[in-house]
Order: sequence, then C-alpha cells, then structure tokens
Amino acid sequence: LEQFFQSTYRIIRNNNEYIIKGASVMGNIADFIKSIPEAFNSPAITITLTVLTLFLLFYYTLSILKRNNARNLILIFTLFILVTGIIFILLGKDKGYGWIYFFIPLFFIIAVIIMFATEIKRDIWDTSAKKPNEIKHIEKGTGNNNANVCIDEIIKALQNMSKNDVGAIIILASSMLPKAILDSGVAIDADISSALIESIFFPKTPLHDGAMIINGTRIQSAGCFLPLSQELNIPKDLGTRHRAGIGITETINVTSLIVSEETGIISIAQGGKIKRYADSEMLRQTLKEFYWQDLIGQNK
Amino acid sequence: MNNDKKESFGKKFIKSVQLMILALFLAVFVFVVMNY
Repeated sequence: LEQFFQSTYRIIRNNNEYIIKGASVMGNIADFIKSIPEAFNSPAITITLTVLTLFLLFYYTLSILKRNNARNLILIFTLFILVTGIIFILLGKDKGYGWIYFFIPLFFIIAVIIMFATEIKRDIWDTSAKKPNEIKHIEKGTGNNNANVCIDEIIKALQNMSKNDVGAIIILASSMLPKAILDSGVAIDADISSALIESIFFPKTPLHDGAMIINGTRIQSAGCFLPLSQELNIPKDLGTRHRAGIGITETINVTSLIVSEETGIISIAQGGKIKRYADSEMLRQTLKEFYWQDLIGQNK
Repeated sequence: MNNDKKESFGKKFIKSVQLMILALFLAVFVFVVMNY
C-alpha cells in the first residue's frame, strides 16, 4: 500500500511539472500577443506598412491605366503627384499637416476608379471566378460530349443559321456567370447539338431572342438577357444583339459568338472587342481555345 | 498554345516590374511629402 501511495505521489509530482511548464509556455504566448501592439510603435514597421499600402494603391491604379491603354494618364498621374508634392513642400511650413497631401493622390485614384468602373468590375469577376484548370467540365469526353464533336456541332449550327439569316448569340463561358444572367433565361443543361441550337434560335420561338450559355460541353441555359455595351465606337449597323454580345465580354472573361439576323455575318466578341466576318477556320480556332483543356486531355 | 501563354506571362512580368518601380517611387515620394 505504501508503495502504491509513493508511486501515485511521484506521478502527481511529475504531472505538476508539466502543468508548470505548460503555464510558462502560455505565459510566453501571452507576452508575445501583448508585444504585437508595442511592435507597431516602432517607426520602422509603421513606415514599411505605410509605404507598402501606398505602393499597392498606386500599383493597382497604374496597372488599371496601363491595361486600358491610358498611358498618357500614367504620365499625367506621375507629374501631378510630383508637381503637387513639390508645391506642398514649398508652401507647407507647419509640421503635422502632411497627411492632408494624401488627399491629392487619393482624389486622382477615386477619379480612376470612377472612370474605369467596368474594368474594375471585370477584375473582381475574374479573380472570384474559378481558374481554368479548376473547372470541371460536366461529363468530359464521354459519348458524344467530347470537345471535337462540340466544336463541329457549334460551327455547323452557326453556319446554318448564318446561311438562313437567323439571328443568334452564344456565350462560351468557362466559369460561372453572374446568377442574375443565368436566372434571366431558362435552364436547359443539354448536350451540344446543332439541331438543338438551331431550334432554340428559330424565329418566333420563345427563347430565340436571348443568349444561349454554353458552359463546358453542355448547353447551360438559353433566352438569357445580357448587359448591353455602352461603348460609343461600335458601328451603327450593329444592333442590340451585337451590343449585348460585346457588353458581356467587357465585364466577364467569356467569348460571344454572334450571328447577325440582317446579314448573316458571324462575329466573335472577346474582351470588349468584336471580330466580324468570322469564317469556319476562325470559329474553329476560337472554339479550340475555349476547349483547349479537353483537347489536351484527349491527346494524352 | 501553352508555350505562348508562358512567354506572354514572362513579358507581362517584366513590364509589370517597370510599373512596380514607378509605383514604389511614387509611394516613397508621397510618404516623404506627408512626413516633411
């Protein structure tokens, strides 16, 4: 019995040591957490964080300007900041009011955000959309669903509609479109076939006026309403269908294939720009770019 | 097509470095003015 008590006492004593050790570890962690706000008092960290924030703000603004071919504005932006900065230094003798100067670049940044609101919207959609290699195409490569068949069927449908002057708009979306657009149409979720595409766009049918969304190797929905492009440089002979086809590519990373109802001309819109008079070779190239993952998968 | 994408990515990277240097310069300048 005595031995039993002795061994129990030993175990308790050992555990106590662990508890004490644990407490000291917790104490260290608590000290570390307490030291975080103190670290921010050091000028090195404050300077680094301020410069980093300004850098990110300026870099994003400049990259928006550069991507939208507004190189002149980059120069104006730089000169504007430099000139106003020098004026501010020359005029401002009182210390402690330096933060007011921040409103000058901020004013310019807000102006850029207002001017390029559509492009910023597209950036947000692109980053929130899935990357191409993360997208699972529905039932990829099975039966009639493989990419080559899809490409042939879409081209056949487009050419038939072009021949008969049937207006059509097809959106090739490799990522999810905004829910508002998908909900504006009728969900279909069918295999791609030229007969189905032509039937949907046949005049006087309920779905012929909207856009058809092709997601991967499936027709996702039809009769969808798209945002119209507000661009002024679009030729006057292009109607609402073309404006819708261009409008959607301005904000979201998709490709639109448009058949004109008046002339039967097939156009391809990508990134807010339209290529007219698309022949079967151009269509095939565009569709191959859309289905490149499936095509690579098949060649393996 | 993959190779084309890689090349254009490299070019884009070099071009974005120029932009980064400009942005960093402006950030430092604004910071200096703010703390002058």
